[in-house]
Amino acid sequence: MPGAEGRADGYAGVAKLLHWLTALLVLGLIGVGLWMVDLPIGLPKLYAFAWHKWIGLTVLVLTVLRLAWRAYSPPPPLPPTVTAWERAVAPWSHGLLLVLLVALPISGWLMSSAGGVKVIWFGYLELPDLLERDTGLFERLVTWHHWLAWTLMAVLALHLLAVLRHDVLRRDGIFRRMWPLALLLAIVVANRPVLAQSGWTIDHVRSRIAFSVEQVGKVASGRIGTWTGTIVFDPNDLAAARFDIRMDMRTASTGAKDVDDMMRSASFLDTANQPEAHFVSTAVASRGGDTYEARGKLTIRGVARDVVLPFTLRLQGNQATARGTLPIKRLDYGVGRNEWASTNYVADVVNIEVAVVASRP
Amino acid sequence: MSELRRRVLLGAAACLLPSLRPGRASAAEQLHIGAARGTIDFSIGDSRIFRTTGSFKDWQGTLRVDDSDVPRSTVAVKVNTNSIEMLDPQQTSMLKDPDFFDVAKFPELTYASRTVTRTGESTLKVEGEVTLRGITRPMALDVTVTDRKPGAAAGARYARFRASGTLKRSEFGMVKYVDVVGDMVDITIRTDAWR
Repeated sequence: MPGAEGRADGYAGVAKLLHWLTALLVLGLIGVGLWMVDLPIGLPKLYAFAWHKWIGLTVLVLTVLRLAWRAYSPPPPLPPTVTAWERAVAPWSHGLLLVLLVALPISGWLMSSAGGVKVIWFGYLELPDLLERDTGLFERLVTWHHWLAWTLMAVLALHLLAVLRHDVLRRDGIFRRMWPLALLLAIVVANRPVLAQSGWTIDHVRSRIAFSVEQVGKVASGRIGTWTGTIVFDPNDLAAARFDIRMDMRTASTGAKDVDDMMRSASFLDTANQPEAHFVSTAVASRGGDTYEARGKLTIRGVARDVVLPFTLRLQGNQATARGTLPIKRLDYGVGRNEWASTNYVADVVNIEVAVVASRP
Repeated sequence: MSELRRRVLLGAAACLLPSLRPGRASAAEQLHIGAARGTIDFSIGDSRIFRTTGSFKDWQGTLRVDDSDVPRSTVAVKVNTNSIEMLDPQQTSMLKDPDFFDVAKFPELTYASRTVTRTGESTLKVEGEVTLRGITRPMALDVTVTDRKPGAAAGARYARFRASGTLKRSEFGMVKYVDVVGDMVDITIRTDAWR
């Protein structure tokens, strides 16, 4: 199932692992590379060169794996907060980085061969010489390696500036797509949408998206563990308001494993094929006082429907609480197949309750 | 002078190849080899970290080829140690230091054959002695001869030789970094021999 792990709100675990491993190694390579060239000859220099080559070739292997992974599981689409020109430039700078991560180790290997130095990878694997020993060629390759390295440093600087621009200036959470701890702490971290525009921070412990449905006389309820996205809301500028929330339905849970397995199965949410539900607002309007409504599209199980989410917003000091309940009909989204298309056991109406608590300093 | 004659250099040796034409009446040939038409390369052979190669740029030698009596053939080579060259100038100058070739004190490195044995159609084994940093040790060279033209004119190529052998640098007192970089040094000589 190609790309089954890819998620619309972030890179897959494999991609993150490769990215961060490469980042760590490249940082080390740059540091060691800049330091070692001016060392006086001696053991530190010898070891520095050996490790620089070994790690450089490791990056080559990782990058080849990464390219293969990208082909198998393409990166997630860019979020809507990315502007048109950024959208045009991003693939080029990412592509250039990947090209450099291949070109640098290969130029180093060529340089080593032309210099008459055979590389023995970590002391175990003797690599073939790519070229005959040749002083003139060696000098040219040194120049190439040098300029490729500086180009890499420049593009990396750009890469980091882009992260700063998005995450510090715009706070659109783009870094979270690649944030490594998500591997370990998926819920804690991914669960933090950004309240843009006003310095608000979501309290991810007290914020929640829950659901409840009647089921032979009693009410089954649960919550979505992982959701993320963008909330832009200013009561004085409703025209600019925008909600864009992505929910990982694989984390929808009632606390009872058999119920959860059933809910995620192909008969209901089919999370193996449709892991994500998505709400995106089209218009937010005031209904008087502290009540509002957000119109938009809700997509569950790949089926999009127009919905209206009524909510209240209360401001108390530096804390804002938004609450709303959206009743939907599960069968409108194809949730409940075969015998579950009947509403005898599980009601058609599911209430989705949203509570977002945010604070500002 | 005769002492000098006996000292031959590394690679050269073999050259002689005598017996490639057993029927030929003897008359030993006197041939030259050297940097003008050949190379001496060496590489540190047993490092677990890397293998690096360098060369000597100034060397010459003489061969005496006796087809009728192969074991009497000889080779002697002299190498100017100050002509050592690595791609990295830092390494080149390090190797000239007292820790290594100590070129100020020992400007010459020599090789002289003791016995030459035929081992195949066009291969020879040369046993001899190498003297480096004032220390003399045995060293064997495996030699391959190609393009042999016994009738070559004076100054023209008589044959092409490739000789390879190994020595331990620690035996010559060059022990710096031995445990890291390695002790065994592989030597390869490729040269034309001319009359």
